[in-house]
Amino acid sequence: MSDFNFWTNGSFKEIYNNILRQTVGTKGFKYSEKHYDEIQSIMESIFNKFHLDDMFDLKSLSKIINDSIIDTINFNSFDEIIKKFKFDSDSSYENSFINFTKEIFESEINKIFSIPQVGLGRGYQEKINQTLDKYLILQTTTYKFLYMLYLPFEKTIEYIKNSSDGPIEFSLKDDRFYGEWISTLEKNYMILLSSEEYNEVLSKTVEALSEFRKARNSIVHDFLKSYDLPVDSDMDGLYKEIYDLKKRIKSLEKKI
Amino acid sequence: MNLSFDEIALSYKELFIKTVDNSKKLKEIYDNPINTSISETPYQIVYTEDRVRLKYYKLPKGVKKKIKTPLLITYALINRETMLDLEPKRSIVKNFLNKGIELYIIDWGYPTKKDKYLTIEDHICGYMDNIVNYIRIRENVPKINLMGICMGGTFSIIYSSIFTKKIKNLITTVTPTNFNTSQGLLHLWMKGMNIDTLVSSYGNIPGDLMNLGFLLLNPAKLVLDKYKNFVNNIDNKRFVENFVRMEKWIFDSPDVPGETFRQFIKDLYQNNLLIKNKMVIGDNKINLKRIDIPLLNFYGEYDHLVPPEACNKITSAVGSKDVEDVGLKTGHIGIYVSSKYQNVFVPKIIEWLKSRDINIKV
Repeated sequence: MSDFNFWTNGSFKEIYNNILRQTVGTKGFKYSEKHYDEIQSIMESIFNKFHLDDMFDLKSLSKIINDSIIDTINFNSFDEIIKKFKFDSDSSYENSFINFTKEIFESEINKIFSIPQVGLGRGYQEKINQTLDKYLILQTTTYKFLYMLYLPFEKTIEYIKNSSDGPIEFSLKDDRFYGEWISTLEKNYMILLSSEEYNEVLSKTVEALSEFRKARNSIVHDFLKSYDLPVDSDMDGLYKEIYDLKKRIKSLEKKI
Repeated sequence: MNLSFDEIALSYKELFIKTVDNSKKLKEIYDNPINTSISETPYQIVYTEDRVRLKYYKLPKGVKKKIKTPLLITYALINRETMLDLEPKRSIVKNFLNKGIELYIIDWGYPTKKDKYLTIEDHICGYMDNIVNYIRIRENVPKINLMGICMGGTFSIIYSSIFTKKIKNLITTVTPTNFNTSQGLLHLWMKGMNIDTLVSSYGNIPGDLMNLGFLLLNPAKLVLDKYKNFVNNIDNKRFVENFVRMEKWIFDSPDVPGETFRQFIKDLYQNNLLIKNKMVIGDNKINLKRIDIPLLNFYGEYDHLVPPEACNKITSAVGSKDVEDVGLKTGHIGIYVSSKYQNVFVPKIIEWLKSRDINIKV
C-alpha cells in the first residue's frame, strides 16, 4: 500500500516522538524511544494487510489490527506485555504502551474516519465511518480498562512471592495460600479502584461504549427504516407523547 | 516462593480429587429438589398504577396488631423489594408480621422503554403520593409511617419534606443523603461519569450494566471468593439454597428509567444538592428543615456502597429534634439478610414506632 508509506518513513517517527514527549514526559520518552522500531513494525504490518474494502467490515478491520499487534510483537502472555512496556514498576498507568496505542488511534486513525464524504450515499458512509471510529475507540479503551483490572493480580503475586514472613506454602489443605492471596488481591483492588487513573479510564470506557452504541444504532435504524419498521427515534416520540398525555390526565384527575 | 514441580503436581492432584468429590456431592443435591424460592410470604396487590404495584401483607392469624399507624416501605429502583423476604427463616417481612406490624411495600416493577421519561418527581409526587393517599383512605388515618431503603430512603426523605402533613414517623435505612464523600467507590466513580451520553445511548439504564458496576466494587470478593466459598460448601444443601436465593435476588435487576437516573446522578452524586437544600423536584425546592417529624436513621458501618459518611448527616440536617442514628456493624445488605442484625433492626423499629404511637387507640 504505497499510499501509506507515511507510516514507514520519518514522518511517523516525528509524530510518535512528539506525542510521547507530551504524554509520558522525558523519562518515559527515553524508554519508549527504544521501542520505536517495534511500533513501526506494527503499523507497517497493519497497513500492509489493510485493504480499503476492510473499512466497510468492522470485523475484518478489527482482526487485522489485532493480528498485526500480536504477530509483530509475538506476545506469549500478559506478563510479557507488562515486562515489555511498563516503564517501571511504580509508574503511572498513563505511561503504558496501551495508552500510547490509544493516543495513536485517537490522533491518527480517527482522522481517516472523519474525512468528509460526498455524493448520494454520503450520509450513510459517514455513519459507517463514525461507527468504525467509535468501535476502535471502544476497543482501545476497553484494552486499557482490562489491563488495569489485571494489574492487581500481578501485584498480588509479587507480594506473595516477596512476603517478608517468607514464602507461604502452596497447599489446598489449609487454604493459607489462598487466604493470603485473596485478601492481598482485595486490598490491591481497593487501591486501584479508588485511584484517579482508574476512575478516568472507567468513565472513558463507559462513554466509549455509549458512543459506539449510538453510532451503531444509527446504521441499524437506516437499515430498519428501509423495511418500514419503526425505530427508536419513532418510538421515543410516541413514548414522549404518551408520557405528556398521561401526566396531564393525572393532573386533571387530581383537580376534579 | 519456590515450588517444585512435584509440589505443584501434588496440589493439582488434590484439587482434581476434591473437584471429583464435589461433583458427586453436587449430583446428590441436584437429584433431590432444592427450594430456592424467594418472596414466599403471602400478600395482596391492593393498588396498581402503570408498572407500580402496592403489596399488602396482612397479619397472620392470632397475631395482634401492635401499631395503629400503617407502615409503608419504599424500596430502591435498583434491585427489587424481594430482598425483604428472601427466605422464610430470615425474612424482614415475616419478622414484622409476627411482631404485629402490618406492612405495605411498593413494588416498582420493571420499567420498559415507555418509562424512560419518568423523572424523580413522577416517582415521588406521582406514584408515591398516590400510594400514600390510597393507604390513608384505606386505613382511615391522616398520616402513615414511612420507611425507605437505600435510594427508596432518599425518595422518602424528599417525600416527607414536600408532603409534611401525610407522614407521622420516618425511618431511613442505608440511605444516601450526603454525596460529597470519598468513602464509597460509587461516589468517586459517579463524579466523572458522563451521564448524558449514557442516558441518550441506553434510554433506560440496563440492570445488567449496573450489576456489572456493583461487581466491580469488589471483584476479588464478588467475582472470585464468593464462588470459591460456594464450591467449598456445595455439600451443604441449606447453604446452596440460600446462595441461589441471593443470586436470584442480586441479578434480578430492573432497568432504571433514564431521566430518573440522570437526575439522581447529576443532582445528588455530582452536585450533592439534597443536603444543601438546593434540589428541585417539580415545583418544589427541597428544604430538609421542613421535616419536623421523628426520624430514625440506620446505616451499616461497613457499608461500601453507601458509606456511613453518606448516611449520617441527615439527622442534623432535618428540622426535627426527635432524631436518632443507629450504626450497625455490617454492610449494605447485612441489615436485611443477616439473622443477627434482623434481630436488632426489627425490634428497634417496633419499639421506636410504638413509643411514638401512644396517642392513638388500637
